Amino acid sequence: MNKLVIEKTESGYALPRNHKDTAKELPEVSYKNGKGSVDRVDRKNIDTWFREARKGKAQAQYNLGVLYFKGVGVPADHDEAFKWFAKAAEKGSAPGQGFLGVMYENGLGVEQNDEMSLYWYQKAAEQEDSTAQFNLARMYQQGKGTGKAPDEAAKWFEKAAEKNNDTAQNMLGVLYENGDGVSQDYSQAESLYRKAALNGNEAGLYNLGDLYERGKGVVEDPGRAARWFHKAALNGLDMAQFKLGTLYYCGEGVAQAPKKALQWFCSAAEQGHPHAKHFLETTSPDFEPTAEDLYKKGQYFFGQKEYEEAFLWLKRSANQEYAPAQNSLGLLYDYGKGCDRDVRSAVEFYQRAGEHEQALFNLGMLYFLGDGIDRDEQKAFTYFQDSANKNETRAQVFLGILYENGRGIEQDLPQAVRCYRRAAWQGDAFARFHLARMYYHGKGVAPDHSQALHWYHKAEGYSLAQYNLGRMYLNGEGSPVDVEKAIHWFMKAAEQGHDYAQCSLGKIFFARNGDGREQALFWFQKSAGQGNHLAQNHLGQLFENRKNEEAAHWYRKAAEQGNKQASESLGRMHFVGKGVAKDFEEAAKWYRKSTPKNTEGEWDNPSARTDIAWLRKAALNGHARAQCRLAEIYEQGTGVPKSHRESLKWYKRAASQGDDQAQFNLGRLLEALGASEEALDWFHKAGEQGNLLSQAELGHHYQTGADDDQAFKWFRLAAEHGHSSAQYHLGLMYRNGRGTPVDFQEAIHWLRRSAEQDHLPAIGALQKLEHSLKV
Amino acid sequence: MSSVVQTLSPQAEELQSRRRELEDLRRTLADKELDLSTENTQLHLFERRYQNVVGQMYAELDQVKAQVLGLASKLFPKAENFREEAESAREQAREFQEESPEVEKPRKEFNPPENLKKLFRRVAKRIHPDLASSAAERDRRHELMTKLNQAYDSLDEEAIRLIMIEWEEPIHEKLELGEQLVLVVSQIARLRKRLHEISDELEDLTLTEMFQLKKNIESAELEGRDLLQEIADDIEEKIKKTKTQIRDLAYDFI
Repeated sequence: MNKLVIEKTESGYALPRNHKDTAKELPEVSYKNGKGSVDRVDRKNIDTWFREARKGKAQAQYNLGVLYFKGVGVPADHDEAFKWFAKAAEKGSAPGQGFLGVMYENGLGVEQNDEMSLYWYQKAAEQEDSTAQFNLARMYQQGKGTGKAPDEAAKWFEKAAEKNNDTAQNMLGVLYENGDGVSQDYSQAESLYRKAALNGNEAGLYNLGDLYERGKGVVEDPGRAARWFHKAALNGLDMAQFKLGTLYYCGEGVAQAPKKALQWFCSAAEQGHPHAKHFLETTSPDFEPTAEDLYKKGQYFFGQKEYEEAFLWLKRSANQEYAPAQNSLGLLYDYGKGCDRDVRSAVEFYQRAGEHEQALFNLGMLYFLGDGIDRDEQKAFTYFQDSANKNETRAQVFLGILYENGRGIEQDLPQAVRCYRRAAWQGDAFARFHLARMYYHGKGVAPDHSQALHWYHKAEGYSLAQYNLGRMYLNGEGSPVDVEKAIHWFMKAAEQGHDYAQCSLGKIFFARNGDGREQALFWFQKSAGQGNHLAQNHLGQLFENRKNEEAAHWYRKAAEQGNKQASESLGRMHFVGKGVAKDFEEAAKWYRKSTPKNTEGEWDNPSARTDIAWLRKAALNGHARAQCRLAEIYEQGTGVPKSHRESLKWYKRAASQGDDQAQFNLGRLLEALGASEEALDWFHKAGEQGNLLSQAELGHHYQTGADDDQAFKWFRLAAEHGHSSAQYHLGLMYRNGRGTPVDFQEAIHWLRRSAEQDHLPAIGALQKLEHSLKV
Repeated sequence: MSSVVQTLSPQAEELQSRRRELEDLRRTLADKELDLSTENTQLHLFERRYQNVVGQMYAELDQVKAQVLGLASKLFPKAENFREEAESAREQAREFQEESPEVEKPRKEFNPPENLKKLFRRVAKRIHPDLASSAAERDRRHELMTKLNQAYDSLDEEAIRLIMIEWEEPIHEKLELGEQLVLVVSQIARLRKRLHEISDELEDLTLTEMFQLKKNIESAELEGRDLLQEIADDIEEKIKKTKTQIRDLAYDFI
């Protein structure tokens, strides 16, 4: 109803005329200012501005823009406002330019346009308009109208902050706290938050309180935290009200006071704060927390994926010696969630959790992986055993893995089977997979394909089990041959990204000819793209004689991973110059690599090995392979006295001729003799030639030297070429965000590839990562 | 003999005090809704009156102005602006004719009796949309609130009583203490927000020129002046003057 009145006044017939006729009754115009109270502006001013603006005075044009924007003395009209701001901006008015930016950003009186907005903010910011500097920084921070540029954001926030813009002070503080665009500096963050806070900025007050609560850049001091939260809470900030409530609830930094806690939770809930509502609904009416209550709050935040908050609650509970909380807190430290990763603290809290079965398992896993702690398989065994006895199925599986591989305990296959079986019966998919595998290979149990089939079926959702099922149906193991079923299971595994399953699908479809070709191509490409050398070789075959360059590309990829068939094909391509330049040396190199090991020239056959005189002759004639072989013999001292000098001499000769194996061996030997710089040179030479072991070695070297970017580069190369340990380390780098942004999908991908080569730490790390993403 | 003092848990105590707060808010809000509704209706009536007395005359003024300018543009064919202004004056006059509703005799005053106000408050307190705990309930309450405003606007006591009959208090199934607290707290929040809105709306209302004009006219009435009539006379004077101009111009033409 009231709306109707307002519409009529704005439609224009009453107002302009009233304006003239009742001017004597209305000498002033009232309007609400930014703070919500009523201000007045003289009608005479407005008339003067109109006159001056038409004459082109920028300040007056800007003023008119504001009048039209707010609807003061004139009907609010964004189009008109935009028009006047644009005029003022063109004349160089800084506030006009800044306001024009606002109009463009929000699409007021003009079509929304981030780039234009950025342009005008920039203009105004360069004229030291602090509001525009803030807006410009915000655009850079959010990546609006430009790519995200935290360093530019920091630069402009800083300029605005210097002019005492409190919002900018707070934002710059956030950048310093997170190390975003500036190097991380808690004490800078603290001083900026303090400035913002003293200017009455709510967010600054809250953030400062938060630093004190967590002891970041300041001594942890819940009392001070409470005081800052209190100020922000009185300003009506719901987050601060909630925080203050929690401090009263726990009696931290303030005396425990259920009533005050309740009042602050209610204030926050009034503003719709979801956590405050949750607390009101779920907390027992007396509002006096037990260790279990605190743990439950932690679990709640954990479930909400608010790990920093979860961390605080679990710590409260853990310090009251509540074992489940101690285990969960250990996990947070262990996974680096809600806090910086801190293995020592993780170990401490796992240990304090005592007999808690998951804590025992987690502790065992730390020792098993040597993840931030010295590797100790015997300790791992003990902890897994204790945990397994308390019926933790994950521990039972890993106990089985230790028994199966004879790690930390003597190998005992039947015992391994017992461990797997125990967990399998309790529904653990991973255990069922292992049990099936033991039946299939007859390890620790009589081989039994139908049992294997049974347990693979039950290992639901596990891609390797699906792949194995596909193979068994394809080969008719434990069941008659059934290609359709094989396709079904390969498809399931392939959809989960299993590269071997994708390759198998490619092969099946390829054999069907006709339509199958396209499907085959699709799956081979998927698999090859993931680095599967079999699929790469198949792609090479598919493309040969049709697109020879593509064919050579895939042959090379496969050959670099040691696929012998592909090596031979690539040699052939080089020999006849198909898809690549004709190059006999290259051809020879790849042909040589394709030769199976046991007949790899005379150098490796047993009689030649010992025929030192013959080898020496060839070596002196400059034959690189002979020189390398001779060096190996001197290094090991087989049939000759051990001699580092001789060994070094011959490795060097071969290495200088570019033999990558010799380069690697030379590097390894020099490293052992303490000449690590020289060693590094040779590893580089070999690594750049594609020598797998050197690449992995370089990865390790740079990792120890804390050069993450280099370590990442070399591990990545080695991993792509199929090196299992490099794949494992690459996975960890993706997990920890070292040398690359954190990327759990890539981490899982590489850990899985490594695990499938039976690299034990990868099995553990994969399990741990998948678990950490699930909880 | 020791007396047993029943103590409430902090949560139950908080719930009690929040309930009292909610009750106060409901009362205040009902008052404010009444104020808003009354002000709106009064302003609406005034606007009608203004339109009837002055608005029509403005339209006439626009028309004669258009005539003057039209003549002027014929006299000075090279002066572009005369023709343009004449066009825009005609345009405004036409617009007004289209907009203004058929002239009906408006009530001069809106003075609802005390008992109707009381009834309004009682009903508004019960059915207010901001007390709803679900979207569907909110819609239902909203509908009734609109009906209530309409009924009040036309002083229809019977219709207001019918709304009361139509309304059924929702039954909340047994809620936990904490859940009740959250419900009460969110109702408080919504009522507070609505209170703010109403005071904003009232403030905006008083800032409109129409309201200011009404206020001036009312205070003039207290002094025994009829300001509206004065304005009307003023315009009539202008119309006369303009008509004279037309006559003069017409002579020039001849």
